[in-house]
Amino acid sequence: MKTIIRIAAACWSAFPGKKGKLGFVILVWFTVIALFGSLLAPYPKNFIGFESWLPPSFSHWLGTDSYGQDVLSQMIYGTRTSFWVGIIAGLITTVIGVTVGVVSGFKGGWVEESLMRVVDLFLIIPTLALMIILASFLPSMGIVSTILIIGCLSWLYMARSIRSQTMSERQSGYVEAARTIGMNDAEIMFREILPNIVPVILANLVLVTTQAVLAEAGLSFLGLGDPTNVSWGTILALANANNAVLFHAWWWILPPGLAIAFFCFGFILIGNGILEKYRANRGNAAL
Amino acid sequence: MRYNSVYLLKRLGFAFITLYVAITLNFLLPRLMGGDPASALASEKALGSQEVVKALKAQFGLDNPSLLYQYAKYLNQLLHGNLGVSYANYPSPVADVMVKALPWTFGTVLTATLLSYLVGWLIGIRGAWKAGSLFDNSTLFTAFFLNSVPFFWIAIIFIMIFSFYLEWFPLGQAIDPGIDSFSALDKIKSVLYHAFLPVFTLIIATLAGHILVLRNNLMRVLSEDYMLLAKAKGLSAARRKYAYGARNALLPSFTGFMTSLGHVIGGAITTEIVFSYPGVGLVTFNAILNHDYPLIQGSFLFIAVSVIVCNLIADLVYPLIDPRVALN
Amino acid sequence: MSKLLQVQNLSIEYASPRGVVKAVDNVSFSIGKGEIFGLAGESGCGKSTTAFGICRLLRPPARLAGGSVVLDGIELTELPDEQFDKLRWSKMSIVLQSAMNNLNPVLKIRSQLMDAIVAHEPDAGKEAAKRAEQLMRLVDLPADRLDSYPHELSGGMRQRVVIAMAMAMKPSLVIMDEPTTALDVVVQNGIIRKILELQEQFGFSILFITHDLPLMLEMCDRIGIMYAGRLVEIASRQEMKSGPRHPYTQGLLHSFPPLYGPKRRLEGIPGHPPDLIRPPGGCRFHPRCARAMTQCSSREPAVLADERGQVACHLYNEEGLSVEQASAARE
Repeated sequence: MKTIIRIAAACWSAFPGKKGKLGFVILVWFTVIALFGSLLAPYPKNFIGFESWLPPSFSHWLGTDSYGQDVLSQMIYGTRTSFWVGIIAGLITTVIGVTVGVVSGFKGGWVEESLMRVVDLFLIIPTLALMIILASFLPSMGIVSTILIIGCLSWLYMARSIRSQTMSERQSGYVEAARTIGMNDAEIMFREILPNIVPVILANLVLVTTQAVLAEAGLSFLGLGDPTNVSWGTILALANANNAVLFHAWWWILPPGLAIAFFCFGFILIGNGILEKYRANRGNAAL
Repeated sequence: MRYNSVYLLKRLGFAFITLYVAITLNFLLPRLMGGDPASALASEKALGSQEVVKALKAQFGLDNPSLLYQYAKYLNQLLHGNLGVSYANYPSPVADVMVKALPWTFGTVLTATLLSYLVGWLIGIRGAWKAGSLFDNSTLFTAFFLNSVPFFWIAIIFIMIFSFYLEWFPLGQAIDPGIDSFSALDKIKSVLYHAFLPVFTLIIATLAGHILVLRNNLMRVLSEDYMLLAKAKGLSAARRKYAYGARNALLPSFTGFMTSLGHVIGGAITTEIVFSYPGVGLVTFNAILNHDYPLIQGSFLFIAVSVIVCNLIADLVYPLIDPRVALN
Repeated sequence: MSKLLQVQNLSIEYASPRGVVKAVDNVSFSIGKGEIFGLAGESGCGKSTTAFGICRLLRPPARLAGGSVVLDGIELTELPDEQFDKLRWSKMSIVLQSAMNNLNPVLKIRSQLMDAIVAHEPDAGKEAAKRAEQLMRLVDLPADRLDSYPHELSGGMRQRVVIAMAMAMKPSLVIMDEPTTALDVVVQNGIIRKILELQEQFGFSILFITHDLPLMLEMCDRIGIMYAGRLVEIASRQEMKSGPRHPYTQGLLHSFPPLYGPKRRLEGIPGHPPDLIRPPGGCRFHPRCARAMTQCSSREPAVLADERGQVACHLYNEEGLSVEQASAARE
């Protein structure tokens, strides 16, 4: 309970400055759409019953696409996919990244050496290329496999960042104190060090979430998304494949891109705010 | 002489191991994903000829169920440059398709990376030098925004504005259809004309990262004692900014510059799709659409190898520009 | 001894999120031609900030809040930046803390030394190269070290280069901020000897800043003691050795083991330096002072200047006697 309150407090104070607050507002906006999308959308999902290429009007705020789907409705349903893929893949990434980072930073020695070698190695191989080969050889792609592929391949930078933070925490007095009262390594790592690096973890979480959203868009654009689901990436992929530009259909192109941009922008603002505040508090430039 | 043998061996060894891991992943991943490598590599439906399928299966050891045997055969074929046959481009071998596509991607990606680095460097330095100024704040804001946008969306927007509405650039492709009849000079012109917008897209899309990294680095350098001493010595602002500040800010970002190549290539894949630019990205995309599995594997291998080689080059160049590396 | 540097009521402050920090508060002292003047105190007392204020190298948000600095008859605080840049290093150079990063890691020693010369004499050209070699010889470094990068030199060698750099324009004042702190004792001795030798040879004045009081007692002609942004005492080396007057100085001296003579118990000063955003009223040292009196917390002690130096403490009345002595004399 105490940890929950502490984390909640850290989250609340994690929106420092004007930029952080702006990011928070953006995040809340998308959360509401993701949670209550089915109530907000004017038409059912994937409903094909309208005239094609209709420009924006009162009945279709964002016009219709080449299939006669209402772009606004597709956008709202797409928000749900992109949002959850981003959040869940981001969380998976964070769990792996924090575990690898804290363990290697705390243990040092051969554990750290070997884990970091592996990280260095995979940092060089382009992640998107790995994702492509994984996704294209899977018998079928669903939203779960998208999340897993993104979540399990994006933790490398994060592990590095968390590791260096853990290494500097290891020097501090409270770790020494915990050791003298007989705490074991696991307890020290996850009950003592972890709460102290929450801001750094949050800042990283925010960044990997944006990367996950961008990765999902990229995979969908390559035709490796869930074919039955709609996301911002699939909307753009369809718009590109159907030559929306040649039909002057800017209403089909701009919204998904802007949605991705603002969603990620909000997260980046939050992350940056957290880091700035943490640096100001700790005077730590080692991030 | 800046090199020492330990550094050289370490970097070469690392590149070699990375290469080996990439090659092994390329063998292992499709099998782990539950795909049937035999039908993937030598699909009768795709190749249409019983003999070809048989020959391929024998070459890659797929007639033997032992994974180790298959692995050995796979490595052996790789050494001979045999990556299998592309279904979609039958009977072209995968290696031929990739080799044809690679120069286009390399040209655009390298040009874009260098230019983007240069521009990002200048902007980042100016921002850090006048931290908190209007220029600094607006570039920071723009950089955050650009970092949030997928490459391919920027590509679509650019095509819409510059090619479709303004008609300044072609809507896609890398060369004019009638290029064979062109003079040498016109050929070059045509290539540059077509490459401009894809390169521009990649520059804009990667600019933000460079700006942020260099700004951060320079901010850190500016707080160093030698910057204070440089000011005290009476050095001109330009001398302090470039010879003392920027040079020190640049060095730590250099390795990151090459690592970012992987990221840029990832972005180039989707960008090429938008521009129908006949590079590795478009080849990969078509391979995915056609379920051309040998080609997908081949493209992964080519991308991985190119990035590893570029990183090795960066590691070898780095000691030449930073006196601190490789000596201890 | 004629005055080279005169600092009057120097105040430096910086805005922090919690309020304005008065890092240096009304500090006045002077340095004679050829004199070595030491400035000592605990870390954070404002001694380095004073030095940076004098040579206009304060890092924002620190800023000069008032006072005057006169060097060789020139009022420095009113000098425009361009003129100050010309004057600094030719009349007044600095040697920064001996920690790692005084030298640009990516430039050879040669170009860093020549930078200092060419910045002030753009036409020096070939001559500058020759002078760089002379400077190296001056600090006992072989001239071929000019082609080394900083990381190829030891800490002591690097600090010698920094000292050579400070000599480049034959300044009349050299400000040295903890020039030997991070070095080991043997190297430290060598460098101090070198500094004294150069001072003898060229006759410049030194503003020497350190928290190493015994070192200061060895080499400085006069010593100023700072506490919480204020100068609490100035006295000659002899006076300091024979018995400083301010309780803080006494405490400070007792915190170091004596170099010579019998061993004695080391006594630290209890408590911590105050928060400079809300410093204690009256004498800033009174919360930690064993001899504090009622007026110490209410009134700021006046500066008493006499033949023994100057001291700001309520224990001393106008005659320069301690209150106890004064009352004893009356009886």
